[in-house]
Amino acid sequence: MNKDTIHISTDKLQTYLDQELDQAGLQDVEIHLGRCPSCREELSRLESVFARLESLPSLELEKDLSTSIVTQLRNEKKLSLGITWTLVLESLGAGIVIGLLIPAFRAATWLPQLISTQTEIRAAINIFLTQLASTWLVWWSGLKLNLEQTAKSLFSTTNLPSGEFSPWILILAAAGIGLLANYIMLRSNPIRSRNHKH
Amino acid sequence: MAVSGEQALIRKVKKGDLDAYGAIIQDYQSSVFNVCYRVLGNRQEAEDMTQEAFMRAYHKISSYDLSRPFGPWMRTLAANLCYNHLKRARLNRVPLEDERDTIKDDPKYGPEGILEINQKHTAIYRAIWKLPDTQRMALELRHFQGLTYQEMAEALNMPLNTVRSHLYRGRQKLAELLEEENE
Repeated sequence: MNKDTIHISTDKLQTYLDQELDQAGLQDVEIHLGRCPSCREELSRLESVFARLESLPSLELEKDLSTSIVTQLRNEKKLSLGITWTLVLESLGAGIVIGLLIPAFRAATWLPQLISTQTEIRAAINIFLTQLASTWLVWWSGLKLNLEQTAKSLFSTTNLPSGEFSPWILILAAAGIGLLANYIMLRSNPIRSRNHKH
Repeated sequence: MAVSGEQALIRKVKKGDLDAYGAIIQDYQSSVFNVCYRVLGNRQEAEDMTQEAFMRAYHKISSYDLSRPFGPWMRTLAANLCYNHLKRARLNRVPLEDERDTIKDDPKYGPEGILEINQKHTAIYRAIWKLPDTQRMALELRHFQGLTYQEMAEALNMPLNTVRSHLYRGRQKLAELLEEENE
């Protein structure tokens, strides 16, 4: 078959018009186009599609959207801040409740003993509350000690404090986890206004 | 807007300055709207998606590379958003062809000339909107956003050959539709 009778594919002509052919391909196409009216006709058909697309004017936007978008973003920021603080306070609250409940349960282990020794109810409650208060005090001291030791460990190579975790550490840990979860949630799924109809 | 002035504004936006973002929106809202209109084929939907695109862009502004021009980044984001919207809404979406005049009063052409030009533009829009979404999207990215094949493949998250195929088929189909319109 004569080389001139093999036409350039339409796909290749499009690649040529898109200027995405390599140098060798470009030369081949141009040489062929120089002697093939049929391919020139196909090229001109494609060029008219390009021209008609380019002829489309830019349409006017009938209203300024900037104010409404900026307002939505401002509201979103306020909402994000509100949610952040709500979650922080919730986390702290949950942590405090956990911190208070654990000593209460510990103090409650005295109740069966008090009941078995047939102590008066009023006296039993007094003993229970005293136990509770002393447990909280002990844990508060534990927290201070833990914090002091942690602070010291930052400046020395001695071992980190070991032993039981103070409930106050639990409070801080719960608050920290809450904050982290909130941060991740807000970053990965920003709140958007859904006021348009889809 | 001068590029350096634009970069200064975008730096402010990156720090959370919404007034600066308002100025950016004013500069780009028209071109972004046109992208959405060409892809979606409906003016109201295009306005909604323009808003959504600017909201998304604000949330993604930290990933925007200041050394590259903002316009193509913003318009490609909008085109992709519309494309994904079409894919999601395919089943319950009623395509509405909004055929408003593209040219209104222009003393250069006279009333008959304006009518003729508007008819030609409407015919092109109609043909574009008859194309399958992927083909229309490929035409948008190549012809109106000037992306290379490689950039199109990255924007659409498709293999290079697939994107090329959508583009070529889209042009062929468009040529046929426009020829039918002329007959």
